Amino acid sequence: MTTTKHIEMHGVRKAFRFFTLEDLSLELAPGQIMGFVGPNGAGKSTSIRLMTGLLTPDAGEVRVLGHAMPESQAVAKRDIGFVSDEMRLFAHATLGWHMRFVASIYPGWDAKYAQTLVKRFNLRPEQNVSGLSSGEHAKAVLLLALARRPRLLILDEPTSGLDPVARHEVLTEFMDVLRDEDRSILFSSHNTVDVERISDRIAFIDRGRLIESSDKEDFLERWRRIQLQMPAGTTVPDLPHVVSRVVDGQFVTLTTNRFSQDLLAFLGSNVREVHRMSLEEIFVANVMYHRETRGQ
Amino acid sequence: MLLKKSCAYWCDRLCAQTHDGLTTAPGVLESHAALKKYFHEGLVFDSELSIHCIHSMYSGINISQTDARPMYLQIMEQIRARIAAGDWATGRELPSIRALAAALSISVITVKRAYLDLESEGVIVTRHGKGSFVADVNGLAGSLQEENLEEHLAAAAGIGRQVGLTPEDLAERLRRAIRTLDKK
Amino acid sequence: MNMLTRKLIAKEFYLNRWLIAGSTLAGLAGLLIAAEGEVRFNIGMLTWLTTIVAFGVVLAMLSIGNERKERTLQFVLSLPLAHGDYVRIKVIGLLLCFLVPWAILSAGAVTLISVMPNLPDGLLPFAVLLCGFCLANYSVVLCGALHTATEGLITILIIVTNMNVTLFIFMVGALPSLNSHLRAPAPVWNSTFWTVLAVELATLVITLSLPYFVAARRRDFN
Repeated sequence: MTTTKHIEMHGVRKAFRFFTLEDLSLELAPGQIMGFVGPNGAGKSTSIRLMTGLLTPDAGEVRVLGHAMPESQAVAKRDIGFVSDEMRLFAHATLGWHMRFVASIYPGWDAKYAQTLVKRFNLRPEQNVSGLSSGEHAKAVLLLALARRPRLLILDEPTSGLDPVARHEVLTEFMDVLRDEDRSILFSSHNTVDVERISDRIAFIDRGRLIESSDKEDFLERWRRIQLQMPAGTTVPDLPHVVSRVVDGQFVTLTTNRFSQDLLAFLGSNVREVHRMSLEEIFVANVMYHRETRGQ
Repeated sequence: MLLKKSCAYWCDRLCAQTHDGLTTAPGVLESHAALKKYFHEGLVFDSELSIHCIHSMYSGINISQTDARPMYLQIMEQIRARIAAGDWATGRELPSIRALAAALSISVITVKRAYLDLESEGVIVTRHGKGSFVADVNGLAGSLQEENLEEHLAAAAGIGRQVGLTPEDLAERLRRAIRTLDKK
Repeated sequence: MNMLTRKLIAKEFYLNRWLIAGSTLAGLAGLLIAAEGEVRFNIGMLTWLTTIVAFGVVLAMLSIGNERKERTLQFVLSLPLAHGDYVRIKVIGLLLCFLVPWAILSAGAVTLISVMPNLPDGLLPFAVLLCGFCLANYSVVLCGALHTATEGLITILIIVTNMNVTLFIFMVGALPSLNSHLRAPAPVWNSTFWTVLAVELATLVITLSLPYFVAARRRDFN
């Protein structure tokens, strides 16, 4: 059933004492991996908790794998693997006990794959959870979710606290999931390098609002930094889609979110350099721009 | 079909052994090379292959995020290079978009873009439902060289202008370069 | 009872196995000491009582309070169940975990009093009420732990329920209709007995059903 979206959020609102998530609309199609990027306190974890049924929206609709959340979460969660960096396993049981526990609950548990992951992640099933380092614990929780082969993986900061080797191993397993076009992943991360590499779609969130959600390649193509050298006495005219302008004497740096050859042609010979922007640069520029336009 | 499945099975076993540190066993390496040969000859390409096996097959394709060029361009260049060199022969099936994306740990959308652009360049041919295949190499090598030449000429023209050469000066410099080449 | 429910209840037993075993043994030890009679009886029964009450408190605290604090709650809630299911399974699981040692120790106390010649059977009604009290007290603690979010409130709850023990012994034990028969050779099951028992049962029913209506309806697990 490839036409059902895996995640659908429409106009979701959730208010807390000091923070409100406002008018959040988000979609994730099967076979895709979406990176969810935002500053701390932007509302990433809140949004994810709304998707996994931990929170109930004040307004709007949340559907995951076609099921309404949080009402049908018991059914939905059979096919969702949820991992958050705050989640902890039972300290006084072993990893092996957890594996048997999860295996007995989920029919989709792949024992062979689980064993492969144990070796790949360098874990020991007979070790008590209390004896695991924070990195090993993170890998253990991921293992328990991955080995079930769920259709949808929702991950809140899955690679935080992992060393580079572990991160590489984990990201490799995520991409393995995507070989099946009926499975999808949504993950939130501060690591914009990883997000830039493996995401198909990216959603930016800041201060409780979704700023922008688009294909990754679209972002990378639309955003540019253009460095100009203006002849003395002239200024760059106001242009649409110029998100920021920094003037340093004759040298002007424009940041645009709708780059085109027309724009280049218009700016003509004043252009010295055109730089693509990394996802991190796009993210920061985008957030700053939206905060300005919202008067924050 | 049986060949496909048994190759996939042995590849899995070998890759598991390789990962467990038996890489130095010559037998393993030889068998692995033999299997790779089958893959290269287009006899076997199976999406049942374990991810690490695909990894080892395409580990030569390195996509760097610190490189200034966008990832999709890097993929295109690396594929074009292999085709031009003859490593990937005409008619050989390319890995599926998802398989390559998984092997390189790069988003599907980026690989898809690379494939689409390669197709519009005529480097590969995509048959709906069947996959992508390397297009006619001979024409390709020629057209790659054509592109190469155009790029170099454009660069030369640009530099010539900056330095202040007239078109005649530039043509003379080109002739001089050819004479130097002939002497060697 | 489906697989998930069974597994989660089994998990409660597994995680608390040492506590359950240790408390049972400590309580039985108390009964053995009490068997000697008179002074030893007081010490023994005190041990027995303290063991049961403390076991209940620690069980509830560990399982609920820690689960919240240690963020294992998020792990459990990632399983295919709804909030209401979680609360229901928690209540059943923790009740069963308590019932096992409680049943053993209550049976032990009753047997001890009935069998030992130096212990008058008149103690039986009070002993039964005391066992019932322990169960009712535990269910109050359990109910409280399921509904409070802060450690401060739980601590207050624990202090109050501990006070209850002393209050129960002195107030109910001092009731003339019970007190006067304590040293009788045969048990006296009078109306006071039945009233107190009824109160205990009512407490049990209320505190065990409250979570189903209140805690299970909780909408946000932050």
